[in-house]
Amino acid sequence: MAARKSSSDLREFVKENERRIYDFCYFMGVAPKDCDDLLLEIFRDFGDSHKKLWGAEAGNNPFEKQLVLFQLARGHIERHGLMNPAESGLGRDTRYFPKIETDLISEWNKLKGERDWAQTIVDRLKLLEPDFRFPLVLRDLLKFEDEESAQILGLRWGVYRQRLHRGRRECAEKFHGPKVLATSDSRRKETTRETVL
Amino acid sequence: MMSCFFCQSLLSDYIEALLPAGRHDEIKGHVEGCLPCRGIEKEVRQVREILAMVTSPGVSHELSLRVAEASLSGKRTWLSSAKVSRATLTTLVPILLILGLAVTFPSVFPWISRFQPNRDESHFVRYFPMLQGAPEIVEEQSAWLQAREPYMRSLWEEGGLSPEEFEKTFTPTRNAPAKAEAPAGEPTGDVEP
Repeated sequence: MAARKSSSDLREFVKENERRIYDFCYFMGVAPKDCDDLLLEIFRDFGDSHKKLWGAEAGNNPFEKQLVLFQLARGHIERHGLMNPAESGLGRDTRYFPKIETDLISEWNKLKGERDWAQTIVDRLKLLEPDFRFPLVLRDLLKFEDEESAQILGLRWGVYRQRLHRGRRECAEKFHGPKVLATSDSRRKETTRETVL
Repeated sequence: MMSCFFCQSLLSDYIEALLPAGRHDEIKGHVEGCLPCRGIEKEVRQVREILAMVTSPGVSHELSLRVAEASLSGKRTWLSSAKVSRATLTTLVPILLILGLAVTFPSVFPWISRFQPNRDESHFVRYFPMLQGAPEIVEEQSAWLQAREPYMRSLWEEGGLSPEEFEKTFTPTRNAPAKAEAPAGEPTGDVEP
């Protein structure tokens, strides 16, 4: 009886969280075709952990379960990233993204009307380093609380907040695109020269 | 007076109202008066707004069913793409490393010559004499010895004594009288080696 209740609990919990885990994988830059496999693997592992950690018990703390689930997902995404040469940090990133020249922040109102605007934004997110992308995705896209995100990432509060802030600033730079970055760089150089002179 | 660097590093906390009241007012005052900091604050706010609107394609019904099944069964598929690629990486890297070393330093890995059919066969005979070419070598050596035997002294003679001489020399009880009768030119046991 208890086992049946436990499995129905698990089923319910999985149903509530599968969309969020899928979003987590998708926003962290896992290709949609790999997302399905990764999702199955994460939930398979979670099923095992569920049996080990909670056994036949039912009605336990859902946040604790969510923490375990997202920590598992983080591990899987990190390992998946290691398989991806663009994520390994070796050499120049030569991935092709359409509309990479567009300044998303200044042309946001125009871009909103387009069909694939979400894909454009996800593409830009892929340019961020994973250390900065993890807090950004958990906090701003999946709407986790700060404490929860820090726990999922296994970071102290200060480190987490700093990475989140740096992630947002880097994200703004990536949203601006290379043209704006180049001009702001040259402007920065000019101001530095003026200051020095 | 607060520096721009300090203000910019606290902008996220300021936007989310996580700072103490005094610090919050201080940053607010700085942001209102500083153009670059105001620009960065605006950018961070815009990024948050944009990210809040992004959605994913979502999970299909079929995938949802498979996920539920996977979580309940807890079985592992040993041939998932991630696992295959991981296993390939962990096995291929050491193998390639060893092969690379074997090609670079062939003298350390003599067995590598077995997999190189077009190489000079003398290397093979050198490292594996019993597998190829050994009978020919033995025959050649024995022919060489036979051809030269008539002109060679035996190995016993190399030490100065032939087997006959040895017997003669070291059987004193029977050969003692014979020793006295031996002709003058014959070699005896007293001969210097």
